[in-house]
Amino acid sequence: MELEQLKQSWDKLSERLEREEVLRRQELKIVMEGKVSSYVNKVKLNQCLGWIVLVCSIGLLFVRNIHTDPFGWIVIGTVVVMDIFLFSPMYRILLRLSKFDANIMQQEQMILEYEQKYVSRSIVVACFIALLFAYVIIEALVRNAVLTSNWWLWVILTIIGSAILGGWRYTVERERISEIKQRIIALKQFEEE
Amino acid sequence: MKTQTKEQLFLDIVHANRNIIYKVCYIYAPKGMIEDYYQEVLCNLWQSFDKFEGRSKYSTWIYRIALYTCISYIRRKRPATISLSFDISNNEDSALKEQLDELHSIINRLCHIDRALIILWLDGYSYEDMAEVTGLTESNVAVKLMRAKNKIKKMFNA
Repeated sequence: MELEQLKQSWDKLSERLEREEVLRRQELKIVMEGKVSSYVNKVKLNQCLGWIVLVCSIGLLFVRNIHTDPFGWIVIGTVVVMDIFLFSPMYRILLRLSKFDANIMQQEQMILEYEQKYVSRSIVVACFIALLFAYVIIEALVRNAVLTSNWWLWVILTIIGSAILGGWRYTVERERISEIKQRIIALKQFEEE
Repeated sequence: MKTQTKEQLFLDIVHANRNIIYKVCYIYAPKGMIEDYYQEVLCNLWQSFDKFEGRSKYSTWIYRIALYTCISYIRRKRPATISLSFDISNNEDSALKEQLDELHSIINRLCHIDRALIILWLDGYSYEDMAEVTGLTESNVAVKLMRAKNKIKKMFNA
């Protein structure tokens, strides 16, 4: 085999590859894996931050010397319970998805289940925060505390801020979930073709 | 760049140049590991896609990443590997299989950089492109390529 023959073999390899469509699946899979992995990392980071905030909140109860008031503990307890019963099952689905050991139908099922759970969790969290604000206002009114205009301004600003922040987070998360779903669907369609 | 557009662009670019990735993997990967190498190259391309500024051609960029990935590849265990009829020579007639095996064995007797230059030459790249991919100067490319070709000729004559 001379150099020219070597070139001919190379060209034949190239021609053969032109017809190789199965490689497309690998490409789609890599993009999906990248999406899922980066999402899992973001969720992990959020979870870590959540636990740090929780620990700081407990510390704050003692620093402000309000640890004898059951209200703070009820709030913290509710957050922990929500985390265990609402977030943990979602996290398990996500971890399973990131292992890529399930077939495409199962992966699609998992992301749909995750999306449903995410919507449910968001509704519960939003209701919990709304109740928290309502409690603070009602409790202040019942106590007949002197509620200055500044107090009302801060409460309203906090409510608006929470709503904007919550809405933004919700949209971003839904977009990320939707992207993963799209990738899984693209892979599924490719397999069906 | 919108995410959807970025992904689609990446898929289109990679798909249009998939031959390059496959051929580099075909030459560098040990038998039965082409798929692992291919995945690794795709991962690296995806990760460096954001940093690609468009100063070079897509094909040269892909060549560069594919070559560097294959040369420095350290095998990692992957939980799920797709089983595909990926080794093309398996599906072809025996004459082509023999031809490709011979091509593989000859190029594989060269050192990494010579291998890179020979496959770039086989794909018809200019010295300028070869220099860009390998990081060598054009004159160095010319000298090394000539030596690599001579080595191949000697292999035939031996």
